[in-house]
Amino acid sequence: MAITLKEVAAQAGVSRTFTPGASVSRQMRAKIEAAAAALGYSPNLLARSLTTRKTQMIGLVSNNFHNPVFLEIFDQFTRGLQEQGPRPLLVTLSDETDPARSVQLLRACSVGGVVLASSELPEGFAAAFSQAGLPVVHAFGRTGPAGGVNVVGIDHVAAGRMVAKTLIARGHTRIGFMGGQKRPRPPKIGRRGSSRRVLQRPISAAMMCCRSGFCRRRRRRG
Amino acid sequence: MLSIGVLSAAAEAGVRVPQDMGLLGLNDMEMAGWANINLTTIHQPFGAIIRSSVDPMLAALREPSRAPEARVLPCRIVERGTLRRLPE
Repeated sequence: MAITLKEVAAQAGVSRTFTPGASVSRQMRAKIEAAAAALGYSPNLLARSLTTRKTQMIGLVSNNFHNPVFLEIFDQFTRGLQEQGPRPLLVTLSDETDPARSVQLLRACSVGGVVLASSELPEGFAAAFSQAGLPVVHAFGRTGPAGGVNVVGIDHVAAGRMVAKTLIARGHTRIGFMGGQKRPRPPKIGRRGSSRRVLQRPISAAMMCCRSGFCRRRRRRG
Repeated sequence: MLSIGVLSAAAEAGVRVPQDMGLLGLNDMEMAGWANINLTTIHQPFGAIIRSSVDPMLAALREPSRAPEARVLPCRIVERGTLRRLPE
C-alpha cells in the first residue's frame, strides 16, 4: 500500500505537508522530508494532476517513430526533461491528417506543452497546438519566418548547398535524391539547396520518393 | 535508415559503393558508424537539437507570454566509406 501525505504528516508531527516550492520554514521542510524518506513516500504525480490540472507532462509528438533514429531522440528528450522535473508523453501522428484530433488528445492528457519532433510534419499541426494555448517547440522543423511557435533545427538550404558542393567537388555528375516519407514532397535538404546548385552545372539530378516509408517490400523479379 | 536500405540493395545488385555509386546519408544515427555500414553522412546534432528544444519549452512553461524563438544549429559531413574522397 502506497504511503500517503497524511501518514508523512503524522510521522513528522505536523498538521499537513506541502508541495514543492511552497513557503515553509527550513526546519519544517527538513522534518517533513526526513519523515517522507523514513516512510519511503514518493508523490503520485498523476493523482496530483487531478487537483492541480497540470500533469507536468510534455507531449512528444512525432510521425516518425518507425525510424530507429527516434530512439536516440527519445533518450535525449527524456533525459533533458527529467533533469528539470517534467515527464514525456509520447503521441504518434503517423497517418494522422486532422490537427484537431491530436489537439484534443493532448488536451485530454492535460499536457503542459508540446514538442513536435519531425522534419516532415503535415501542414497546420504546429499552429493548431499553439492556437490551443499550448507552448509548442518544433524540433527538426524548418526555421523560416516565425509561425508563432519555437523552432529548432538545422538550416536545410545551407545543408543542401553543402551536399551539392561536396558531390560536385568529388566529380559526381549524375546525382539522385531519395526521400523516405510517404508524402510526395521530399525534404528541402535535398531539393532546394542541392538542385539549385546542381542546375548551374551540366549535371543531371533526379528525385525519388519512397512512398511506402522506410520498409519497402522487395518486388519479385521475373 | 534509407541509406542502409540502399546499401543493402546495392550489394544485392552487385553495385560497388563507393566505386560504382557514391552514397551520402542524412542524420548520422548511431548505426551509420558501424563497421559494416560505414556510411558517409550529414551529421544532424540530435543531442543539441533536443536540448535546445527542451530549454524554450521549460521557459515557455514558466513565462507563457514569451515570444517564440528560432534556433538554427550547424550540421557537417562525416567522412566514412560510402562516398569517394576528393580527387588527388
